[in-house]
Amino acid sequence: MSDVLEDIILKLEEEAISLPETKNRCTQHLIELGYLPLTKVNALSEKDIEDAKILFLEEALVSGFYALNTLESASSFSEYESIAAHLLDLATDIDEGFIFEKLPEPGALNLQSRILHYRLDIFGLWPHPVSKGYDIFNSKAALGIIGEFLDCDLVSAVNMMANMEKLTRRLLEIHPDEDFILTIKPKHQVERSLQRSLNKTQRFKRQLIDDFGERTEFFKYLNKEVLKENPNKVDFNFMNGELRNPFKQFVMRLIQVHQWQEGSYTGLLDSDIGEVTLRSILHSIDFFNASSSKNIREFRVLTHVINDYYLFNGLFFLQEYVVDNEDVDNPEQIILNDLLHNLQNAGDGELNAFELNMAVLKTEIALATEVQPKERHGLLQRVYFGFRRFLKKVVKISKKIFRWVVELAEKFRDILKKVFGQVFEDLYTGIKAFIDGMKFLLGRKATITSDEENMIASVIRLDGDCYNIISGGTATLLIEHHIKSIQYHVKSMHFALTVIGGVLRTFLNAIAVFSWPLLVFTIVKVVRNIKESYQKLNLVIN
Amino acid sequence: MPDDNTESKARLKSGFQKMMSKIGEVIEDVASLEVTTFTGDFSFNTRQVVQADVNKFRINNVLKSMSVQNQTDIKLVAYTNIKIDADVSTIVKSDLSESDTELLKLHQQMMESSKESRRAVIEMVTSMIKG
Repeated sequence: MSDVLEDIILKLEEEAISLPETKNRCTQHLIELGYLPLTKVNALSEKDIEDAKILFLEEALVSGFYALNTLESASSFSEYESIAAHLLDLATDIDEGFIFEKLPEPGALNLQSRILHYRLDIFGLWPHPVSKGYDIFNSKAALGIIGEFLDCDLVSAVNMMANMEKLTRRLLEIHPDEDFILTIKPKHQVERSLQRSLNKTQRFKRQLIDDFGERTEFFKYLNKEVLKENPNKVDFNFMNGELRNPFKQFVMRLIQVHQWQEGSYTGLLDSDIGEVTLRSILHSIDFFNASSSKNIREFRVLTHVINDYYLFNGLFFLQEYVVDNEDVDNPEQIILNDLLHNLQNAGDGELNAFELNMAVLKTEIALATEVQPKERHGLLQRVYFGFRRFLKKVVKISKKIFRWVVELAEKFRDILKKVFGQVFEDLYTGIKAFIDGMKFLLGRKATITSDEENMIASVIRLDGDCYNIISGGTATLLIEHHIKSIQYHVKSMHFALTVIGGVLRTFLNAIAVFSWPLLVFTIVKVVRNIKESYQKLNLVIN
Repeated sequence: MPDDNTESKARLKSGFQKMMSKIGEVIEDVASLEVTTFTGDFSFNTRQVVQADVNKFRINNVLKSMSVQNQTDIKLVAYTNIKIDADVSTIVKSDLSESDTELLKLHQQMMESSKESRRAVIEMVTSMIKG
């Protein structure tokens, strides 16, 4: 083999090894859905995880949630990525999650009951194990709470919990403005400098008057008795009452979930609004300003009032930041195209900085995903792996991503990590396929099946010529197993060659500017294209 | 650390040109498709099988390039040549035993897989040409 091709394969293999793995993602989802008990999280064995995965797959197959096209698409890439991880992602999605036609039967313990309890758990409404069977008392009572907040029936409530944007819109539509003006009291002392920087009570008050005037008793009272020039005369009883308001507690949890989904909140989903959440709100404002022509100041959203009390304009936050009216098709492709355009036009210095900083981001993402799921204070320390709604927002700043990486912009580091977390996943799939494709092109891809006494080796060459060599006996079972392996191999090879073809086509068009980062992100783009084509094709067939 | 950009770009370019050239060789060799199945009682290093540049139906070359160790009795079970004009020639070992029949099933299945594999390569090349 030529050295340059060997070098490319080696470098791609190094790149693949350095990418985050999906193993812990599977484990987290299995815990989230109650296939693994939270109490055993810190002492899980490989067998526990495998058994849980098998149980999940068994329940998934009979759940009716997974369309044939989903299963077929997943199996098309199965040599390169974990089917279980993909199916678990879908089960735990709360952006475009599965739709329930009806509630589970009383006593049922299946994927339906698990997903329902998982969603309630995300919103802090399920204090029991997710693996508890559906029951008409506890499950219905918890669903009833959210049904009341959303003013809808229980099935609609389950479904709205799997569509964060719809749920948020619904709340904003049916609840008065004042229900979204929230009091925050962190359990732990917030860093002094942060607290000082948020001492903007009077500016916050003026803004509130501009926005809402004194249109309700609530706003009148807030302006008169809470947002006072002399903070010592603040009505603490009023603020403590606000803290105990169940709907406002729910809205605060909703905001925490939004922040968690976008990677800007990395703490526990515990409804405890502390310094991490305050900082994540401030980062959200930076992101909002970067993605629009507006210049929102912190006091527009948040102010420190006195002692440990803060006021937060959740209405503005949810309206302006969370709910996105733009219906963007294919956000991944827009983001990748902008990135590839920037890479093609980058100078050597920028490319160097980009590569160096990507390595830093990659390490940070890998470190975060390599940490096994943990139990803390009876809760699961977890990350959100969905991206769809998040990417729609990122589209607005997609032209800036390259520059932010080159500068390793601190303010947007969490956003970058979230964006590239997904990119790296497709990159892992793409690199493995690309390497396989290259080995096939170079005649190095063989399928070998063996037992203690027999071995069958088959090599299918690039021109289609095929050699089978059988050593030992001819055990029927081994032959059948080998045939299955070959069929699987050929199916995967089709995918691998499609990736290679897509990358080479780009290479032909961009030969003068081809660089390692361009190759890497071209692989990602090609993989995304192929996955979408498979999905569209399967949709047509089905 | 990123490689020196100029050198890195040059090596990438060279690597991709070689891949293109490799694909070009295949295009020249699509006129026929061959499936060959051997059996024998021997031990060998599987890596040698993978790396051996077995080329065409020349049994001596195959054995030589595989460096089969302690090879005592290697036999051709079946050889099939499918031409682009759909002519199919098959050579099958005479006096097939019951166990050889199983190998023949494998051989037939491999013909299907080879065709599918070939189709994937042609699709790849076509998609590249279409741009």
